[in-house]
Amino acid sequence: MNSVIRIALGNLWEHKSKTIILGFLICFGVMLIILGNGFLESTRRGLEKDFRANYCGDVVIHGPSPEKGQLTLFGVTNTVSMGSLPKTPAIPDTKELLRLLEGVDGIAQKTTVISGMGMLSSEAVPEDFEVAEDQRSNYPYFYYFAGDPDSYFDMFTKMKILEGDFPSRTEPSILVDIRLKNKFENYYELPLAVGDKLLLSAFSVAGSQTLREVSVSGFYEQPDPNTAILELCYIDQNTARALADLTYGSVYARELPETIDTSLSSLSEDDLFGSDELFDFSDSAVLETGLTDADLDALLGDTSLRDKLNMTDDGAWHYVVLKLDNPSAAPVFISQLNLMFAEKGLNVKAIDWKAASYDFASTADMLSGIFTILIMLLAVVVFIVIMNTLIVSVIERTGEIGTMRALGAGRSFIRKLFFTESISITLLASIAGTILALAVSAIVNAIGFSVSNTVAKLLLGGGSVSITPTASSILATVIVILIGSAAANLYPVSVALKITPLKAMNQQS
Amino acid sequence: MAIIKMSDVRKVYPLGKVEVEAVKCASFEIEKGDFVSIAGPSGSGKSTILNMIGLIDTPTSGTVEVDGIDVYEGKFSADITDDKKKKKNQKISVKIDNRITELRRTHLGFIFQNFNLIPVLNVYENIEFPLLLGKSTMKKTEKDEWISYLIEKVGLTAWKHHKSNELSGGQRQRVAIARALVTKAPLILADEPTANLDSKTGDQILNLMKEINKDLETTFIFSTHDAKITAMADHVIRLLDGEIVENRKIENGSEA
Repeated sequence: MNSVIRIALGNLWEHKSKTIILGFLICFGVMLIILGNGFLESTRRGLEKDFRANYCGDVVIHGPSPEKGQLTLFGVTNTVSMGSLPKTPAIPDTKELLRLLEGVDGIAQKTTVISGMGMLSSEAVPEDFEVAEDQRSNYPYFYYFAGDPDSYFDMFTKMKILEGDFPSRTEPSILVDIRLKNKFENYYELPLAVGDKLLLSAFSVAGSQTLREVSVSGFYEQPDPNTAILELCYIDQNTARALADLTYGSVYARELPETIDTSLSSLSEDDLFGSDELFDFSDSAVLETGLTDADLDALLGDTSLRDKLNMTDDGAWHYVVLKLDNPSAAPVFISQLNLMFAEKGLNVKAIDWKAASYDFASTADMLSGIFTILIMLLAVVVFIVIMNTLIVSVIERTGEIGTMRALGAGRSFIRKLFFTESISITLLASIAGTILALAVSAIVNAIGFSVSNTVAKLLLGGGSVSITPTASSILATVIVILIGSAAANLYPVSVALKITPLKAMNQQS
Repeated sequence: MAIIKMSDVRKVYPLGKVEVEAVKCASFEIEKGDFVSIAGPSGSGKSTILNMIGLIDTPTSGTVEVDGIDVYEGKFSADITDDKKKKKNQKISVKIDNRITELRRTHLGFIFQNFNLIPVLNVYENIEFPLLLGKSTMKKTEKDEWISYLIEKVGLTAWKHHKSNELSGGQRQRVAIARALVTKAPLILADEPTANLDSKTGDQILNLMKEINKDLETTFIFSTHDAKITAMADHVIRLLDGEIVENRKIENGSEA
């Protein structure tokens, strides 16, 4: 074996320029893969840390799963047209669920959450307002969260209140993300201060728009200023329930009594209001009836049930969010919870932070997938280049290989020789690539790059660009490159083994 | 005893749509310790014969025996018309390849016209190389002494640690001779060993080979078209157009 190593290293030294070019290529490839993996790992870990600590906790329990799309902490993920956002289902019986969770070991903290998406506007915006062309990207839409005031802000404590206070427990109010304040001010060209009145609007599944007036309770900054999450505001639970259509009527669906005439429900809006054939709404027609308001009220009958059904349901929540004593045990804990829910017949489901933050995690995963494809393409290119270089080397060394065969070198010797050459160069280049990657990571982390663009933040899983290569990813990269290098040898070696000593007779030494 | 026995050996090369018969039904024997010259003009088939003796070229038909071993035993009987027989033939090919590799390692030494030293190794390492390929029974000190003896024998003691590109043509051929001898192979093959050397160096190389032939009783077979070299041989096989036209053994200066 010593002779093989000696000849292999001698050959690498003898063909320095080729060795350097090949080594540089492998080194560069290894460096890129390690940096890429380090960046993706850092992104994934950063995203997980931010979302678990500040939004999703370790476990999120949601209500009945929708027929289409995936239910996340930020609503139902589905391709929808604007104006018909799918409704996030409420947990059927939050009190019962919380009571059940009281008896479960391993839960450090729990809270309840309502979430949704809305848009900010103000009565102060002039009717003829037209947004400036360069401010269109500042459209003030946002996610809203409403947590149980007794537990939510004890569980998620890291937000920084810059001005004012948390949302009121009783009054309609909003704690505004400072980024949204800036967007609002730029978009509407209006200042926004604590105590100002704002109009929050949210779209429901039927395409209707729910509008609520709230006052600004304060402004806050996200715990991680480079978070991937879009603008997020905290509002009081009653306003949230109204925006999210969490009324008694929507939560408690019951069979209608047989006494109620439902014949009109089979008609469409066009049938009902498209012509005057069914109803005549002209003033003369209404006046001709001689009905007074009291008559009309009497005609409507008792509306107390309807009024009650339209009231927000004080006990309705979208999610129960848990933090565990042992966060790393979350996957097992979630499985056990779901088994328990199934046994108890509860139509709820426990999910982890990744499923709960689907859009954000999946975007990072998608980027990771694209990067993996790029790495694979790079690996294929490197593989082909190594193979071609080795084939050229085999052709150049036909005489040498033939001589060795003539002197009694078996096929295994030739095989070992080429494998030793490529493995040596790959190993050395991989070590150099690893050192370079670590150096580049250290420099990038020391400089502290960050991006402010929303799309870039979403793609990168946050605004901070950091690279943290792990020992396991470095080891995996080197092993994969070594295997690739060994595989790249197969064809050149088969070419080398076909060289007969006869060819050596005609080669110059 | 014959170290080489060739019987009805033919070698046919395809050349485009025609076939060229480089060697036509050659049969001869070479005894151990002979100093053999395979002579003939260019294109007569002498290199082809030498290559077949050295097991670096395969005959189209016939048998080649090295030290009593039928090298291509089974090769020409296998029919490759169906898959089963193809597999059998592949097995035979692998067996023959292993047999050839072993014979090259133990019985044959080569001296090439173009020296064919391994460029990355120095003089000592080039000579040592064939010993590293097999399971040498020599101890390290014994091996060092033997290689040093050979280096001294070919007059390259001062160049022991030089690489081949630092040597002259004659010096390179001396390294090749020492390398051919290092395994104590009983048979050394040399294809036009002096063709790339000046006449003085060529004479020195020939004298060295003759000296080793006498001292170590190593069989030398070399191809040449130089009458002066052929005159030194004690067994001359002369070829013309692929046919043996002369197979003459000379003992103690007189023809046998």
